[in-house]
Amino acid sequence: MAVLPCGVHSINYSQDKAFIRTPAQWICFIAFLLIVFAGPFFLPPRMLGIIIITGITTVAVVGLQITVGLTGQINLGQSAFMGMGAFTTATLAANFNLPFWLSIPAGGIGGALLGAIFGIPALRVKGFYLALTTIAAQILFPLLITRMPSKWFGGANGLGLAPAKIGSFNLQSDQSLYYLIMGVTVIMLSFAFNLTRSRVGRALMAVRDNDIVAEIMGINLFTYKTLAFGIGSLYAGIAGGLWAYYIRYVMVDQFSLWFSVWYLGMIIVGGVGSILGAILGTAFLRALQELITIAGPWFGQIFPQAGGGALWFSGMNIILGGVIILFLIFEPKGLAHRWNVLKHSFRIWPYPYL
Amino acid sequence: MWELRKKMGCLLVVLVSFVTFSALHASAATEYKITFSADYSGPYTYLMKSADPAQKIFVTWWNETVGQKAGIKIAIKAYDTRYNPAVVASLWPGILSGDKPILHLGLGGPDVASLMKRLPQDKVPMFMSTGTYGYCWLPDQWMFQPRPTYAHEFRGFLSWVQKNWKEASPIRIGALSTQGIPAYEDQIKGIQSFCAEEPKSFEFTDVEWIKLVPVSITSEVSRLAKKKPDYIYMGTNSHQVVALIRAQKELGINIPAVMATHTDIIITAAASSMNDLEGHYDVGACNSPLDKTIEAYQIFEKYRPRLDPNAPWDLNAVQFAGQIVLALRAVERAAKKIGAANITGEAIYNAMFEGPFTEKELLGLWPTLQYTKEAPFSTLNMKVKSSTVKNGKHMLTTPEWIPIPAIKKW
Repeated sequence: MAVLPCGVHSINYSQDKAFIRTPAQWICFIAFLLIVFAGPFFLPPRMLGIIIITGITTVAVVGLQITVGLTGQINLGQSAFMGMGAFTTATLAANFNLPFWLSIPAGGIGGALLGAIFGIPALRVKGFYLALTTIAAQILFPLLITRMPSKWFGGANGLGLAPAKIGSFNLQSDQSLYYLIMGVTVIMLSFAFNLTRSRVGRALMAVRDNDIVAEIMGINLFTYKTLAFGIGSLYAGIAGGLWAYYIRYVMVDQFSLWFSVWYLGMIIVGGVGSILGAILGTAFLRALQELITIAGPWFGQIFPQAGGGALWFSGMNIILGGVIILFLIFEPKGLAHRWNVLKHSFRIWPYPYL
Repeated sequence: MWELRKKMGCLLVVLVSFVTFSALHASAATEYKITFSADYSGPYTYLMKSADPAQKIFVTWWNETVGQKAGIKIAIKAYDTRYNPAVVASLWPGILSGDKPILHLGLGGPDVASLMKRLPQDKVPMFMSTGTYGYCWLPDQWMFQPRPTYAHEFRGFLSWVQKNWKEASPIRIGALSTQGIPAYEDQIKGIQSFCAEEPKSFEFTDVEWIKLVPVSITSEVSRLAKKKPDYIYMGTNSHQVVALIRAQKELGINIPAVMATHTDIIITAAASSMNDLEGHYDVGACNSPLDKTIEAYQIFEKYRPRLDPNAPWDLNAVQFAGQIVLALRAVERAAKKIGAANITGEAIYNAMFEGPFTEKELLGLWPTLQYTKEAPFSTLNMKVKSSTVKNGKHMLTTPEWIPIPAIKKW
């Protein structure tokens, strides 16, 4: 329960359910949107590249949060669902000349369909068994793509696609792609935040908390578990579509099990069950990865006698793993919880508690 | 005393003038950056122990000889991409703006997948060191492969086999590979394609699909052996080659395996033993580290004590040295054409198509390479080198380069 400043109270339901309630919150929100919009004007290109990849990853990880965190259905195939979305988008754009505003949502549907199919066993199996089922998706995905007629998805050769276009303007530069990707990310995040407060979102959480009780309450487990996989994979598919337009060349080995594991790590670090957690977890781990990419060569140059670059680079990787482990030990509820504690303390300051 | 002071003064003036002149001369060199996709924390970390010293040695040699004369200094900067396309994609905009590289050295598939489409717009050419895959065999690329496809390389090896082939029947070829990995599947497709093109010379018996890191492949090898292949192609990884050797021992058979350069005899022998590799081969369109007569090896040996006494001279070192030497020769050519102070990525790209890079220019690391816009690799004058183990000794299959006949795109 969020603590609001003294005197802020709701007098109707729509006020009560609003995300933004005070003028200060509106100012902060608008300032945030302005900063996001103005990003390409003041951010260095390196930072722009990081934000673009983080944006795409965030969409996929938020989708995974819906399946795993909100509904409690373990999923280790998110990268495959993202790949399905990327290939669907790429084939529609390359072979049918569909514009990006149709091919990206179609990619989302492609991912959702594959996800929903692999979500069906969730009615019967749970936990490790479900994890294995979703790993099967990850293993079958490359075979599926490479075995299809090469005209469909390019087979083992992959598919290249032309840049996204608005009229005669090509979305080819990092700046223009930033707007496309951040725009889609903002839309997908607002859907996700609202999903948690909807009837469907509450049903998903009921399934997570106790699926037998949820069923007794009248929630159709088959529908909602499949829906959870479908929605989560829809997000992955959209992320795949964005990836396809960013890289403009998709191949099956860009969507490996390794990425699915990272996505799961991101929601654990961010906080399982929270959309904000998925965003924070993604940003945190991406930032950490970038940091070690920068720190490795830097240490290598300063201390060349200590094994040169190789030692520092690999040492950085150990640091990455170590930070995640420390995080899990000292803040198992994730970054979202830490953020809420911080926010709460700030609002009631100088009092320690209310 | 006064005389001594005068002498000392003169000496000081001479010294200061010399230092100032040297400094001015040094600062007159235009410095350019070449960036490199390294992998220090991903699946190909082991390559870096050969890549780092090879690049350092040949860049230093070039800067101190050719570069000094031309007024160019090359600095190389590595980025850890973890062999991950997402990392490559996120790093690239920063590399482009921060380092303004005149060219980029790629490591493998993730660089190709992430940068292939954007290099023409960024106007930065990328130089690779590995074999090409069929899906990269496209016209108008801004990446340059010194080696043709793996299928080309194997076809080159078969030319050598054909020379000594006395039977009337075609040479029977089997293969072991892994499904779902485009690069591996592409090698098989290429081989199947040229076998179908020349049915009188070659017969592709079958391919057995095995796990990426198998425990045992005895039943698969047994199935393949029943089809009586004369050679088995393996272009995947060392785990599979070691598994093949073990399976052949268990089955009591000895069908020669032909490996690609990334699983060459030295690498496989480290995981198995040289005796186990008796009669097996490796092949690649680059020189072998066994050929120590080449100029590149002399340079490597000259600079090794000063720069990295532990630097290995293996097949990976040969390839990374070849990659940087080709890139440096392209820089030289661009400088000659437009001047040392005006080198750009585009100038290097254009320089690549201005006639052949001879084997001598490439210090014997590659055969003569001649690029056209039809393919990212030199489609003219393609050649391979192969090595084998005979009587427990690792040696060149034949000391000469083996020509590769032209094969059709698949």
